[in-house]
Amino acid sequence: MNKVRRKLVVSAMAALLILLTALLALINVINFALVAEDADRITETIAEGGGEFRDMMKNGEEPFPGGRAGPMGPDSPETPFTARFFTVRFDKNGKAETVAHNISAFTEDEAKEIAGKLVGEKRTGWVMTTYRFRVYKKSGETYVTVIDQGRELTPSYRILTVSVIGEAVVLILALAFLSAFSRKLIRPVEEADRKQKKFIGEAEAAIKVPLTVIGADVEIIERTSGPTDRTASIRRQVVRMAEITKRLRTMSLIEGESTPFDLTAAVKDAAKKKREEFSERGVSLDLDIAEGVTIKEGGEAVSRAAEELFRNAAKFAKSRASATLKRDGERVTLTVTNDADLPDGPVEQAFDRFVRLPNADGVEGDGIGLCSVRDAVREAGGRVSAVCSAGEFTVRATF
Amino acid sequence: MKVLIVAPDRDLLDSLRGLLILCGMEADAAHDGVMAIEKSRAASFGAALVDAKTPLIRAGDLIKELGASGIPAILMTEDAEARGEGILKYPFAPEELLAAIEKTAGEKGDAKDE
Repeated sequence: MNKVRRKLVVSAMAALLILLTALLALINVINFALVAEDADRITETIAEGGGEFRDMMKNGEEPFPGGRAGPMGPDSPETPFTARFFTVRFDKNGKAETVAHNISAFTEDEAKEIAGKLVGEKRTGWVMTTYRFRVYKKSGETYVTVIDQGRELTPSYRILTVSVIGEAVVLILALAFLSAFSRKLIRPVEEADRKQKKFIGEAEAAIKVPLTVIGADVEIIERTSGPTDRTASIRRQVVRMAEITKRLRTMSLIEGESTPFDLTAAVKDAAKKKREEFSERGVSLDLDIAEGVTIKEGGEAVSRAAEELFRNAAKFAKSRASATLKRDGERVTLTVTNDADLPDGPVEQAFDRFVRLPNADGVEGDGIGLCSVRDAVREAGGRVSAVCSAGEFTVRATF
Repeated sequence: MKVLIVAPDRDLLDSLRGLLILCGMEADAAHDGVMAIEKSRAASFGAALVDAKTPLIRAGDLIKELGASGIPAILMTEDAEARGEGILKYPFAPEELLAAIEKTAGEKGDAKDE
C-alpha cells in the first residue's frame, strides 16, 4: 500500500475510532447514570418513608404523589413490591437496628455490617458493584438504605458489551472497506499529483536545452565583441535559471523516495559541490560529518536540500560557515550555520515561499531555496527549523 | 580538431558550432542520426557530441557506431540521473563543454598511442 493510501486509511480509521468510542462511551455513561438516578429516586422515597415504603394507600394518598404512575420506572406502583432493599438505622451511640429488610441476598446481621461500613460515606453511591446506597439523617439518627440494582443493571451491561463488540465489528468492516476501496478513492488525487509532477518535470527538462543555447550564445558574443554588463547579466540569469531547474526537479521528486538513504555521503557530496562557492566569497567552511549516518527515506530530494543549505550558507555568510551531521540514537540532525547580520530569534518565515530575510538585500535570489529544503525534509519524515542567535543563522534539519 | 555535433535542435546546433569554431576547433552539425553517420564517413572527426534525443537512430546506438569508426562521443542529456563517463547534462556551461571535449579527445589520443 503506498504512502498516500496508508495515510488515508490510518486517518480515516483513527477518526472513526475516536468518534465511535466517544459516542458509545457517552451513551453508556448516560445509561449507567440513568440507572443510578432511578435508584436514587427509589432510595429517596424510602428515606422519606423513614427507611421503608410507606403504605400510602392506607390514608387514601396517591401512591406516588406528583410522580408518574405507570408500568415502568421508579415511580411505578409496583416498585415497593419489586425493590430488593434493606435499611439500617444507627442511633447516637452507633447502635445498629434494622428498619426494613426486603432482600434475600443478606441476613439482617450481614446487612448491619454492610451498613456499618457505609455510615461514614457521602449521600449516595454504589457498593458491591450492583447495589446503590443512600445515607441520610432523621431526628439525629443516621440511616443507611441499600437497594439491589442488579436486574436494572443487567440490560446496561448488555448494552455496554454490545457497544464494545459492535464498535470492534464496525472498525474491522471499515478497515476492510477502506483497504478495498481506498485505491479508487485516491486515484483522482494521485492522478492530479502525478500530472503536476510530470508537468514540473517536463517544464524543468524543457528549460535545460534553451539555457545551454543561451549560455553558448553569450560565450560567443563575449569572445567576438568582448564582455559587457549585459552579457554578465545574461550569464547570471542563466545560473539562476539553472538553479531553479534543480529545485523544480527536487519538487517533482518529492513523495517518490522510500529506500534507506546515505545522508553522510549526500552531505559530503553537497559540501564538495558547493566548496568553490565558499572559496569565491572567501568564506571558511568547517565540517563535522559523522560517518555512516543513514535515514529511512530521502533520495535525490534530500541531496538537493543538502546542496541548497550549503548554497544558502555560501551566499549569505559574512566570513564563516559550518555544517555538522550527527546521530543521537534514533535522531539524526544536520545543522548548517553561517554568520549573518540578523536579529536574534526564530526565523521560521525563512521557509515560506518567496520570502527573503533582511540580510538578503542586494543578494540575488528568488526566495524558494529554503522552501524546497523544508518540503524535502518533511517528505523524508523530518522537520526543519531556523534560528538566529549571537550573529549566527542556523538551519537545523532533524530526521 | 574537428567535432561532429548531432542534435535535433537547430539553435543548439548553431550555438555549439559557433562556440567551437571560436575556440579554434572545426565543427560540423547533423540534425539526425543518419546524417551523422554519413558525415562521419565523409570526414575525420576527433570527437562527437550526441544529443540523447537524436532522431532516426537511438543515441546509444549512434555513439557505438561512431565509436566503432574511431570517433569518441559525448552524450548530451536532460536526464539528471544519468551517470558515467562521457556524459554532459543540460544545462552545461561552455567551459564544461570544452573540458569534456578535451578529455574525450585526449583519451582517444591515449588509446591510439597504446
